[in-house]
Amino acid sequence: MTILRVFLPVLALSWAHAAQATPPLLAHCGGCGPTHAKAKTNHQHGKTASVGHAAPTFKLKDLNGKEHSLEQYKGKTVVLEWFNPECPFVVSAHGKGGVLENLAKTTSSKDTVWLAINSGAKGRQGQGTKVNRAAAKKWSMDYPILIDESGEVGKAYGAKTTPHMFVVDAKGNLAYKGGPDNAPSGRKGKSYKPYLTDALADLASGKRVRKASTSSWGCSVKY
Amino acid sequence: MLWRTALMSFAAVAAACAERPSVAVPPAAPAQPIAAPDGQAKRAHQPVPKKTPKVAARAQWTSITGVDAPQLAVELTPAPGWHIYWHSPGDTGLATAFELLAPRREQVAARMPAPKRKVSAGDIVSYGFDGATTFFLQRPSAPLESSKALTLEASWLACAEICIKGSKKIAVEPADPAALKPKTATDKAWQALPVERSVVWKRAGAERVYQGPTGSTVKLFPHAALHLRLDGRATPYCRDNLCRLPAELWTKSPTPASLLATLHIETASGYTAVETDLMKGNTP
Repeated sequence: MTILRVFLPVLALSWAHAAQATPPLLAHCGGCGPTHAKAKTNHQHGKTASVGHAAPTFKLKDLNGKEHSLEQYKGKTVVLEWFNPECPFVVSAHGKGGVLENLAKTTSSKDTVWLAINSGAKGRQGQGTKVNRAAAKKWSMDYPILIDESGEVGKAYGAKTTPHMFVVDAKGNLAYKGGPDNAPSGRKGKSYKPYLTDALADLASGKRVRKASTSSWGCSVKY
Repeated sequence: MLWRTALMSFAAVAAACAERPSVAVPPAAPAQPIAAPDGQAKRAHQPVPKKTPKVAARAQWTSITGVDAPQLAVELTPAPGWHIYWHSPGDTGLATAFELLAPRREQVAARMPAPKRKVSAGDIVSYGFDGATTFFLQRPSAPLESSKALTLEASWLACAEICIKGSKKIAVEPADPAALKPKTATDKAWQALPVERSVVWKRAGAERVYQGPTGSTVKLFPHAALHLRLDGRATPYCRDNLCRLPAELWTKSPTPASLLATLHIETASGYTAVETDLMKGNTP
């Protein structure tokens, strides 16, 4: 019976996806439920979080053991930053002049919260409380770093890189996914686009995010 | 962290693609130790190679059989266990890039061979090179002049379990075009470069398909815009000689002006690489 209780909803969700006749490119996360189990189910079917649809909810603990859920921030814009403190792209982005150096500080408000998520598997680069705590201190990160050692949340969102940015709007829908900007090398040339800043500005002014999906860049998430 | 047999498995396009001769490859080219077949992600965590991720770099002017102007060839060789990235690196990584430092500073374009495809845990798809790879540098505005001494900088991201950025400045001595002789290795590298060609993708329900010659093996490597539009779904895109892509690629708003892909088409006698724009010759 336990097995049935666990898997019947999963099967129902699979059929629901099949019946939606959603074109492959628009495969969405509308069925993403409020539990890890449902997020995992979506991943197994190759469905990950899609812009304009419900963001997978989650519950994860931060470095101090405090639990955070997406649900608890409903009504706010939530910025999710996939994080690996030892990835050179993350080091560069959070370092002096980097795109993420002060972005959380300047954009956080009573209506906008930031959460970093480390989906590194145990034993892999950038994983572990000590190295994450040291990075948070070094880069003055005053927002939580959540630990997703199983990688379930990362895979439900389709997080591929560190950094990889996702923005969930106040209604719980995914409003942006992609890179923080278009400068993986850190060189901000004439064609520089601060995608994440622009997306947050659009949301803050009540607009639809104009550039809602961009290429992410960085190291692979160490699942 | 395993690559699949990719680069060694190109094929010759049959008559339709034969603007230039196919490159002969051994029928059973030995896979490199870190190679892994397309489409099957290796979940096992590989140990970090103990060696420093040095990427050997050298550059020289070379003459190519059948080509009038001398070509500037740069060979990059990552240390065993490490790889560098194609111009469209996929979900992760950083494009290998080249910059001319002297006689004046400017970006130069690199013609690159087809990459290898790597799938990591989390369905993370990357495109790159893990062996000696030759790049041919070009300046869009005017040909590079072999009569002048050049200094160029090659920059890359070398990855294994971890990634490390690297670069190297290379001095290139002037060369007299009349004194340059074609070499087998650079001729072969030149022939491995993709040629521009439009191919027809036929409608098949919610998909469009491209069919290579009978008996061939086709692989598709999406350039950056196509990779983003595919959103990492439905990889690998080809099996045997048939490639399938969602028809929505051509119709989903906003319709892109260009969607580039590189196709590798391998037969028993050799291979051809084709660079094609899906939006040309294929009505939405």
